[in-house]
Amino acid sequence: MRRNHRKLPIPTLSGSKELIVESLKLPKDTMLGASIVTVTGNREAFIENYKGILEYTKESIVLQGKNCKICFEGRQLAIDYYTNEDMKISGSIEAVRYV
Amino acid sequence: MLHWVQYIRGYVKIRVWGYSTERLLNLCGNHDILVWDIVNHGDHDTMKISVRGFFALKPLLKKTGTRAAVLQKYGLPFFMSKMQKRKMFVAGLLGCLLFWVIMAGYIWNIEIEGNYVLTEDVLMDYLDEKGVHVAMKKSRLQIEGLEKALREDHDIITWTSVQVKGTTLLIHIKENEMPDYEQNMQQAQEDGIDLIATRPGTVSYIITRSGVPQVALGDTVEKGDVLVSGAVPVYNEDTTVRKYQFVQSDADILLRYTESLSVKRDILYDEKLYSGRQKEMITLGVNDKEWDIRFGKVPYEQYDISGEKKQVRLLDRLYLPFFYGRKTIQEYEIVRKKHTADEMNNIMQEEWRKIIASLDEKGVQITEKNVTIKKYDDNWVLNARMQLEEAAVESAPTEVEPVAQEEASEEENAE
Repeated sequence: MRRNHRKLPIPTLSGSKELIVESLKLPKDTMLGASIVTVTGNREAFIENYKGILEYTKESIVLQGKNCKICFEGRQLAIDYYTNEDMKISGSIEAVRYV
Repeated sequence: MLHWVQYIRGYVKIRVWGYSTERLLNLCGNHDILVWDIVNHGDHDTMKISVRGFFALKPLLKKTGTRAAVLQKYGLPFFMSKMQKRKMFVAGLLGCLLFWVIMAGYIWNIEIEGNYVLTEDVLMDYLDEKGVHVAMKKSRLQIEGLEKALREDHDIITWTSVQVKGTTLLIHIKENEMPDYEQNMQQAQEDGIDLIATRPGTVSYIITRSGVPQVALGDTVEKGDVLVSGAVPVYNEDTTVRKYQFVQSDADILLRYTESLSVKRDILYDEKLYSGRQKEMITLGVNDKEWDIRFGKVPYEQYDISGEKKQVRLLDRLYLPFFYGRKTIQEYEIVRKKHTADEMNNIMQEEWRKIIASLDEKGVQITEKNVTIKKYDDNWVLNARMQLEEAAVESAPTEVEPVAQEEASEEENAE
C-alpha cells in the first residue's frame, strides 16, 4: 500500500486526493482526516477522529475536527468518556452542525 | 470488564473549575489520561479519573490554570484502607467464609434408599463400624471401598451405589429377594443336612422329600433326636455300609404334644382415679442428666409424671447431647374396685384369646383343647389342657461316624 502511495504524484488539490483515495478504496477517515460521528437515537453520540474540545457546556459541545468544527446542541449534555482517539456524548441531542 | 479494572485500580470523582476545562480535557487526551462521566455544572465540571491519572494531572492543572478537588473515592484500594479500620468485621467475614468452606468438606447427612429387609438402623450401625458417620471428612470417604464392603458383608445386597451430593452421602442398595434359598443350595452341595426335633413329642405327620427318615408315624422323640438324616447310605452286598451320600434333608413333620397352663386373675383391683389437678414443668437435659424446672414443690401425695423429651439436632441427623421437653404431673387417688362377673368373663376370654394368638404366631396348631374356668371368691382361674401340633424341626449339619476304613480297604482288595 505504502509503495503504491509513493509512486503516485503528490496531490496538490484536495479534489485530486479524494479521487485517489476513492479509486484505491482507502479508508477515508485516516486518509482525509474526516471525523466519524455515530449517533444512536438522540441520546448518544460516538465520535472518532477529532483534535480536541473547543467548548463544553450542558447545552452545547463543540469539537475541533481536522477540516471543520462539529457542534452538538441539546440539553443535559455530558461526556461519558474522553480519550485521544474517541469520545462518547450522552444527553438529549437536538442538532449536529458542521461549521 | 473495564469497570472491574477501574474498580480494582481505584478511581476518584473530582471537581474541576477555573479558566478552561476544555483545554484540560484536550491535554488529558493527549497525555493518555482516561477521564469519564464528565458533567458540566455551569461554573464547574465533575469527572471521574483513575488514581494514577489524578496524580499525573497536577502539571496539566498548572498549565491550564484550573483547579481540582477530590469529591469521592471509589475502588478496591480505598475499600481496603477503609477495611483496615474495621478489623473485626473483616475477620468475621473471612471467618464466616472459612467456616463454610471447611464445613462443606464434611458429610452432614446420610441417606439410604432401596433397603427393605435390612433396616436403616442396621445399616447405620454397620456404616458406623466402617467409620462412616455424620460429621466425617469427605476426603476420608472411600466410595469404591464402601460399595464393595457393603456387597461383601451382606449377602442380601446385590448392587450398591454410593455417591456424595453436596454434604449428603447417598447410598442406594438393591436386595436379593431369595437369599436363603441360594445360600442353602450352596451349602447342600458340600454337606448333608439333618432335620432334628426341637422339643419332645410324638410324630403325628411325616412326609420326607429327601433324606432318610429315622422315625415313623407315632414314634415318641426327644429334643435333639434326628428325625431325617442327610446321610444316605450306600450298601455293600453284605448289607454293610460302603459309603454315605450326603443330601439336604427336606420333610414336613409335625410333632404332637400336650401342654397345660393356668391363668389366675384377681377380682379386686386398684384403679387410679385422676383428680384432674395437674401441673406442668419444663425439663432440660445434657447427656444423662436432667433438670426439671417448676415452681414450688409438688403438692400431691400420689402422682404420675408423663412427658416427652426432644433432642436438639442440627440438620437431619446430627444430634447434639441436649434435650428439652415438657412434663405433666397428674394427681391421682388409688381406689379399690371389684370386677363384675361380666367383666371377669370378658377378661378371661381375652386371656384365652391371647394364648391362642401367641400359639398361632409360633405356627402351633391346637388339635384338642379342654378349657375350664373356676370361679373362686376373690379370683378366677383359667385352666387349659391342649394337645398341640407343631413343626418343631430345625436343620443341623449331618454327623455320621466314618465308615470303617478296613471294610473299604477290603473292598478294594477284593476288586
